Amino acid sequence: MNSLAPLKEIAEKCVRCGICQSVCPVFAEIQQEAAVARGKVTLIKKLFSKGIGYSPKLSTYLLQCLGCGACSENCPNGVRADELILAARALMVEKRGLSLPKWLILRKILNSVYLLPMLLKTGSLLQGLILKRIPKESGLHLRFSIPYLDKDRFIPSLATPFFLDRYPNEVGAEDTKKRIGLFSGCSINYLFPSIGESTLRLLTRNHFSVTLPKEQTCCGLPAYGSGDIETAKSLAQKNIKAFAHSDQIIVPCASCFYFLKEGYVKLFPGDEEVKSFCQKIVEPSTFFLSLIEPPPQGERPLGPDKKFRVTFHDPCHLRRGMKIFQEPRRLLQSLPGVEFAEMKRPDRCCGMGGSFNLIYYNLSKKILRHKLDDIEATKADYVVTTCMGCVIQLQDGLHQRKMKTKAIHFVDLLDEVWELPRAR
Amino acid sequence: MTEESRGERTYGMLGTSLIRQIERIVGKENVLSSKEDLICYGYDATNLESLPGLVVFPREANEISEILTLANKNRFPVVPRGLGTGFSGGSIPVQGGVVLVMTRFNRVIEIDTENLIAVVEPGVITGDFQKQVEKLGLFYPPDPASQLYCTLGGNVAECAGGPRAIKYGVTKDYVLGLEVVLPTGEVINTGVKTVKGVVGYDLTKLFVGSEGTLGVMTKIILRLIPMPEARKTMMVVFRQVEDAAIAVSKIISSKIVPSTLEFMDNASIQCVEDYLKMGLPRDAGALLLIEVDGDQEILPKYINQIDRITSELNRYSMEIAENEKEADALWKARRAISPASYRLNPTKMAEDITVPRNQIATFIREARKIAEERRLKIINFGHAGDGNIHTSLMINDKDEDEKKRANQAIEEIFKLTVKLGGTLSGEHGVGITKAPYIHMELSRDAIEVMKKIKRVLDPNNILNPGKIFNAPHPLPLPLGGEGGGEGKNL
Repeated sequence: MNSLAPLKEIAEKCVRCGICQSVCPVFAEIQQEAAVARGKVTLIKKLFSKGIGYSPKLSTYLLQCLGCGACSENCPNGVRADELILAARALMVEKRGLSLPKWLILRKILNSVYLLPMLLKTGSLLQGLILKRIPKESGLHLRFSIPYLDKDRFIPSLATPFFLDRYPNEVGAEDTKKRIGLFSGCSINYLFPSIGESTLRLLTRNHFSVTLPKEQTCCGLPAYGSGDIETAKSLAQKNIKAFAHSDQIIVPCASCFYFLKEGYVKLFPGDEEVKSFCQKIVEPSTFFLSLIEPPPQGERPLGPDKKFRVTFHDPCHLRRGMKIFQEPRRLLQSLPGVEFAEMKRPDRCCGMGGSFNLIYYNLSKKILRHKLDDIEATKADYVVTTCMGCVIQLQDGLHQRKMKTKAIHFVDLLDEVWELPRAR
Repeated sequence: MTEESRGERTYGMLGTSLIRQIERIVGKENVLSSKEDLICYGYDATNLESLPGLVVFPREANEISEILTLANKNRFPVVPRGLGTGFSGGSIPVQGGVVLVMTRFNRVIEIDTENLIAVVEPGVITGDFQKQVEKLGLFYPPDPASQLYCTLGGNVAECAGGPRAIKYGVTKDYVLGLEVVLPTGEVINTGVKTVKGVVGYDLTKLFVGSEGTLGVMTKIILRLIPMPEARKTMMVVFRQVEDAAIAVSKIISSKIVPSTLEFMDNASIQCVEDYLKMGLPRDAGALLLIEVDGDQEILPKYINQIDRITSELNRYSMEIAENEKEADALWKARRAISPASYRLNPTKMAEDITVPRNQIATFIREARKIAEERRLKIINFGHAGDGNIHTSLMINDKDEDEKKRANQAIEEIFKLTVKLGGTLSGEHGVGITKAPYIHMELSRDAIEVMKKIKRVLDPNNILNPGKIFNAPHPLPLPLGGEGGGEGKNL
């Protein structure tokens, strides 16, 4: 059991002070020890000492975590409970295998370059049968409830055609020396092609030539989060290969970004090729901020008369995962027409947590409630964020609460108002 | 469903029929019984654990009353618990039974701004309550380090303190009255909603600090005070620990009452400096973190006086925070002690002895000698203003010999404490961790009176048995582990 040694070491560091109870969004709603890091770490310790087995109950509790990282960030002893929980999920899959739906989705569909697009293409043709369009919105409602999906839920419609099918492999000026790869991820490719298009426009406007490899695939985070390391590795290898010729790769979604930049190194420790791939990964706020001069102090660039009130929601993967939170704010505050209003706790998790939202939908919505309250208090026209999971979650919540505020991706706003970039 | 898919079940001493009855009382959804859940309710912030037979989340006093009645009939233990952040094992179910989790009692029933009182339920989080009253310009001073993640009920049960105790006292100084479910199931009210009140024995004080052995609180009446207008924070670093101790005595005898007077010895300073590299002098003997509060106008007078007193001593430096941010920076060192200390060794034996304030220097000198003679690492920090020193041995609990030496050292430190006129626990309570030692401080007759009180209220020894008295042998020290009585190391 030598491979467990580093994990045991993490678990040993927990002195069970209980401070994680004050920051865990899941514990705040269900108030049970198994929901919070202290309880989960104790259970994992018991698993290591064979006090308990790989029971379905344990699996349920391991999955009852958003992976937001608030416990780790606030732990006085620096216990990385989030990492320990992910590792335990992987052990669970190793010992007991994946559940049938997860095996089907992760191993067979997500991991296939052909099957996923094919299934979704069929889906995009058939979506009208079981879903109805919400007037004046870009989303859909179910006509009836099905397992895992609530009837009132706001569901983004499948794109026709998919983002990557709309463009050739290379887009933009041929004469330029600046080449950048664009990683779309599943959500942009299949659900929100407009975000990909915004990114594309921003890049070409700044004289970049953009590579859109068709072989790129899911970043692998959903598989990794479910403990399916095998699929995550397979997907990572496909992406590394697809972008082999890019000097830099821009990843609009914060969660994909985090996983490509931080997760891949963990999947392939010590692999130099992977390391150099990770170094090429950039995210939009840092990237575009580096393109403009800092705006003059106290003076706003001239812009359209239209004024937007904007607030920013920090995706967990960006803020706690990558410590990036000043960059998007600095860029937003320098934009013409943007009036920035900070919400009360911008780094509070929205409750999405990937498949958490599917397994624990009601809980996920309860967690989102606090975020919506904070957004409402800002009276913002737009809540801007950079993670596609957050966008979907916020759209669902704002729609159900019938709020006027719209949830949009950072690059969409940037594309809208940043007409004349002052490029270096 | 297979047995396994429901999670492994161990009921301890509770049979299925009892569990059904309890489920009928509180609702099935408020009862946990899988092994995984039981594990999660077998510990607190000590390093001990013992599995309960069932975890129950009641919402009403009458539910608790019914459960206790059932417990008396069927003789199973019931252990009240808040958020499980205690440092003495008070909420650990050492004899199994039902853990009564009080977190659903989470309502602030009333804040009366005219009479300056509040009525709360025990599951309210201390920090949340403080924020709520502070919005109204009021103040609830008790501030245990875990205030953001501990409950008022737990605070009352253990009589929690905190840095502000020097000026504002501890939890018992703010509890005016209680609603309590007695171990035999009756619900009584104690105390008053007024400032004065002398009708009958002061049962409120009896329940405060009774560590969940005499009753289950379901309502608490708290006294509030006006929020002080302003606060100033400063840090004074001394070359010798004796100078810091003299400074404490002189500040107090000069009639200034700081709202906080925290202390760190050289070992703590070194530890924090290794951890944060914030530029503290490594050869400093000690430092004091001092806060004064009150009307805006009076603060400069206090600060000048503290400056004058400490400048006459062998002082390294004095830093005064100009704003909240600077104050936070000064607090950073004090707050970092806990995580930093684990760099010395993986296990901490944290005590909370309290000595008369003029004995602090003697205590630290002697305690260090006790540790050094046994080749143990020791750090001393804490609330110098009230003599409450968190003397902590940092040990490697994999080393059996070191463990033995540490247990001896703790006993010597307790003897020293009592010799200096102090008490074994300032704010953590006896629970199980200090149970073996109470005879060092209390006379046999005094202990007998306490036991009699317990027997009168709880003839069948249902409520939180195995705590305070009748320490199990061998002793379940925080690191005692194997063979350590009922409580076991994880």
